[in-house]
Amino acid sequence: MVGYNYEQSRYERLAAQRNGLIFDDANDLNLALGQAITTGGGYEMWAIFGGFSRLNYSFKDRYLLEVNGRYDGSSKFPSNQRFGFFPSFSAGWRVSKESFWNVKPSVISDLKLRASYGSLGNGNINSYAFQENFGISQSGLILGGVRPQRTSQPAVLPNGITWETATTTNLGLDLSMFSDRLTFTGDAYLRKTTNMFTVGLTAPAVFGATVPRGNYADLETRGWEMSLNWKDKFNIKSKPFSYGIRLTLADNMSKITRYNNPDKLLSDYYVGQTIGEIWGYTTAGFFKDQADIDASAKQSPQMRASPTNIWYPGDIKLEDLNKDGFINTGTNRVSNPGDRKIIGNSAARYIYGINLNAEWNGFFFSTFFQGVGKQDWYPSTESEIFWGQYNRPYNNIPKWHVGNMWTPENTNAYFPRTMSRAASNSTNRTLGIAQTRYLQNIAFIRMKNLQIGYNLPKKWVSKVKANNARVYFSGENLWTYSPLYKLTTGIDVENTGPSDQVFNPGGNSGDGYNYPMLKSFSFGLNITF
Amino acid sequence: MKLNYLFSLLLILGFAACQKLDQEPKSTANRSAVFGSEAGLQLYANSFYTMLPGNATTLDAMSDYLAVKSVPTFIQEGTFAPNLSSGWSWSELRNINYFLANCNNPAISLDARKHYTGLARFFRAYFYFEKVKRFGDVPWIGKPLDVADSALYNGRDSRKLVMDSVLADIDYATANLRPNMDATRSTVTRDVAFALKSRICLFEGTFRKYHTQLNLQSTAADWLNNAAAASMVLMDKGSYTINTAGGLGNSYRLVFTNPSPVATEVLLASICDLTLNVLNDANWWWTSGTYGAKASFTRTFINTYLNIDGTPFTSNPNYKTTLFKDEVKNRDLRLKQTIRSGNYKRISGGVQVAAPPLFSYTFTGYQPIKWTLDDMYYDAGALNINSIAMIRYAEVLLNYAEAKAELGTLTSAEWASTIGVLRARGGITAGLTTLPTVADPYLIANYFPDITSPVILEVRRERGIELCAEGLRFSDILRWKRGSLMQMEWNGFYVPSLNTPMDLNEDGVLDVAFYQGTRPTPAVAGVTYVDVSATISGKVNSQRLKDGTLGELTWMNEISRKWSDKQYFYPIPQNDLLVNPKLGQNPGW
Repeated sequence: MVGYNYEQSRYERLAAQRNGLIFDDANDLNLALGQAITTGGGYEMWAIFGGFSRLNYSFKDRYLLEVNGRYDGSSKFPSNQRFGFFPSFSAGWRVSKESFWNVKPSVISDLKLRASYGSLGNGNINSYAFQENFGISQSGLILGGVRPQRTSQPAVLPNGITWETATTTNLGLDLSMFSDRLTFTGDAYLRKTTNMFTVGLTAPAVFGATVPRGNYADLETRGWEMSLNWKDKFNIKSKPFSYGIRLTLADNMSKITRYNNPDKLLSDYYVGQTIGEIWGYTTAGFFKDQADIDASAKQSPQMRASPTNIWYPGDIKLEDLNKDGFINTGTNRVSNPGDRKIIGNSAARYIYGINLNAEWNGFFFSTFFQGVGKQDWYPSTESEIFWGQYNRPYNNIPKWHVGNMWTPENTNAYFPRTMSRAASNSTNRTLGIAQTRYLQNIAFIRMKNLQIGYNLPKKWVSKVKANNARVYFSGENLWTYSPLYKLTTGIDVENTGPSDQVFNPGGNSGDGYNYPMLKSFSFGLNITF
Repeated sequence: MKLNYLFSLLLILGFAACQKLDQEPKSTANRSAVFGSEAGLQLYANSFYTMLPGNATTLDAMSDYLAVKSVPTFIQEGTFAPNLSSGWSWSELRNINYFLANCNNPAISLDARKHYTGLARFFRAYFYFEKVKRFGDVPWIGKPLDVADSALYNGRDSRKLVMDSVLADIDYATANLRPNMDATRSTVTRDVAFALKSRICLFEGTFRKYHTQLNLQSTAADWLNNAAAASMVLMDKGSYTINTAGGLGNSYRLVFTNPSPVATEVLLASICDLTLNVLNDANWWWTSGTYGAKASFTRTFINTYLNIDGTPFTSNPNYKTTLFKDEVKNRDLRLKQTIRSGNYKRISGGVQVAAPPLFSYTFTGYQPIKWTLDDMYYDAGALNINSIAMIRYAEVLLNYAEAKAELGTLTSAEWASTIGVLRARGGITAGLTTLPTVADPYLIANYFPDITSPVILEVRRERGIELCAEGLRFSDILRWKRGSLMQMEWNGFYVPSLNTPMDLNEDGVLDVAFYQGTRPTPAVAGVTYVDVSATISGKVNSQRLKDGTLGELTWMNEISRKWSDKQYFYPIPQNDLLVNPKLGQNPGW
């Protein structure tokens, strides 16, 4: 098969606004007489053009081969780096179809080995990233009696910019056993993302502009996925009982393999970095008394526990890992991170699912569990829902904070001496920086779905001239467990991320504000005539 | 045959699609459009103005003469460190350098190109002046650097090199900006460039003179001469005068509260305008109990305002125990235009109401009104319509007088045309035409122990009074090498006894009473009761009386303020130093 595709997106905006409607229901600009007039335009267009081909070959249903090729061009790249070629190959071998294969189907009914190698291009970047743009906007200042239009230096351009390529090598195994009652699918893959589109090494501030984004990094992801299915039926009281179990498990881990950061500054990517790693301090506990404060490593000036910079019993005590007498960040390099170390990882690992279903004599049951086996979360500074008044003095106090704050009488509390803005964007506040004590384990298991029901017997149903009738109960998100819930159930474990990422990607308005997952219960009766 | 048609069609479509891969942004301009016409240069140059302090009236929040609600971290003992430092931002410089590197299109007249180059270099001088004030030595960067340029990792250049470059920039601006004036006082003109030059040169000249450890004393005189010369250009030109409109007792404050800049005196202002909805927050900041810093002048500073007859207020042997209601009388008229006192009135719903100092807002009793509008309507948010003067002629005169005084060449005639004019606006009746001959022991004891020259002392007194709360004080303290003034006690007016309600504005209504422990009963209606106990429910009380149950009010004596020589320069922020260790840290940090 051979073909080509063309895709374009064009955005145009025209906005006009004027106040002072002459009557309430007026709905035309001519009927507005006010002097607050704003107008706005906007234009964006991109296009992708590419050819593709595919070749499928199957020999005796045993040897399978597929070759794909894509050749894509995008308007988002300069003309000399515009096109990319992305081939892929996959091959399969159904061992169980071979003549030498003489294992009984009741033991192994199907065995297939798979291998593939292929690349895919990603060109999802801003439309005009390689061209100088002078945005024009109205100044907020009055100059010469008006608020004039203004423009300023354009964003600095990357030296070149082209497709990001993800090349995946995959090995797989499909296995069916015991007359297809047990099926297993497993895959292991290595994905190398080359020319990853990301921000360049942070330049010294004297550069005076944001460092351009370009194809600055390579990333390597190793992962595997497997699914195991068991289904069977037998009779209970001469009625068939059928049931099935399905387990899925997947994991992957990514590391940076190329990035121009020879000093391995922690403020940027560095070669060998595991994506998601959290650098933080080790919390030794709270200061017990003045003697403890005097005897411990000096927390200030790196940290600050009060506006007057005086430390009190009940303040956080961080561990002086490098034993230099001060809490510090060293040179902020991997080789000298001060008193920090990697204390966790925010990437989700061991993502699993469990399906159970059974049916007997008209009764049916199914449920689906989903979860993450390992993931860490350090609540961001603006996460009011976690930090409460430790973030801002006028915030609400979460119920679980009550009695959980350090006082001279309650030294075993989870939180330190009460103190506003301790979880603040200033980098020297004691809760705003990742540390072991408040690192949360957000692994979880959640019953996403549960269905129980009964299909009424045909003989009853036919009396009302119906074909089918069933009563059922169905529930969503009925039960969840997470180590986080030992602390509070006030934060939905699946919603610990920053909010509003759809409309405001990269926005940092605080973790945990998303609408929580709803628990829902439905009872139903379903009749088909 | 049909297949051929189909094939051709596909080819044509494919070719058309390929063309579509060349996309130009249409809602933004490109470089040749911006730098190809004078209008384009103007469009770009409008972006420079955000560098100026603009609507800010709060720049003196960290100064010796304002007591504020919490001690700035920078002067709190043992609190400030490189990880808290800031100000190492360079994007404005790149914006200017990018302009300078591209303002070279021969299609634009040479005159226009020089004018806009002058404008850009004015702002570059401004930018570097601020950087040098804050950090001392800084890297000099004269072009937009490429991201791979090794110069990004250079160390710092010497103060001498940087300030010589600043002088070259501001000299270019004064020579090449077009000579026309801007009636709206909102844009940078040649006159503004001369005024900035006098400010920069005075700073650098006095800084080099008093910071002898720089070993640049020998160059100080050149800078002072430059400062005087730049001021002199404006004084000779005669386009500006000290405002007297509004009449004696009002003309000073009008410069700060008038909606449009008072064009006789103001050279450059940040304009506020209701119809264009550009407003400032002066009332909100200076009168709110929570939003601003609750800044009030200290008594030590208020004492420097002369009597109306030109004698020092502190010559009165009883000045220390003079009550507020009395000490504000017969003083330099600028005092009552600077703080609430006497019969100062505010407007509430169109009605005039008495407005004595209010102790829910002030800690010392000397509550500033310099920037605020009298109508209370403006207190509740950023609603102010007064334009904020950023450079005014009074400063030009003060720069001149100080430069000449430091050079030892100020004459009586020059005194009369500078300090004399300013004091005359304050209603002062004597000492306007001849150089002072007596060194005020109060100024020496409280402010400038190392200065013996009566002229320098009086010039500094005048500068403090005339330019108070205009954002120049901290840099004055730096260049005079008087950082220890930042340790001065924050004191307020004199309280003769506890539990005695006082009438601050003598309108027959009692205003405030001070007590310790339990509040006196019955409370007198309308009186603000202020607890001046050493502690309140176990916590240290910041508002106290100096001698226990009587004396001057004091504020936040319990927080130790500390000045040491290292504070003449901010530390390079820790993160920036980590990225480029070659910058080196400032001494002592």
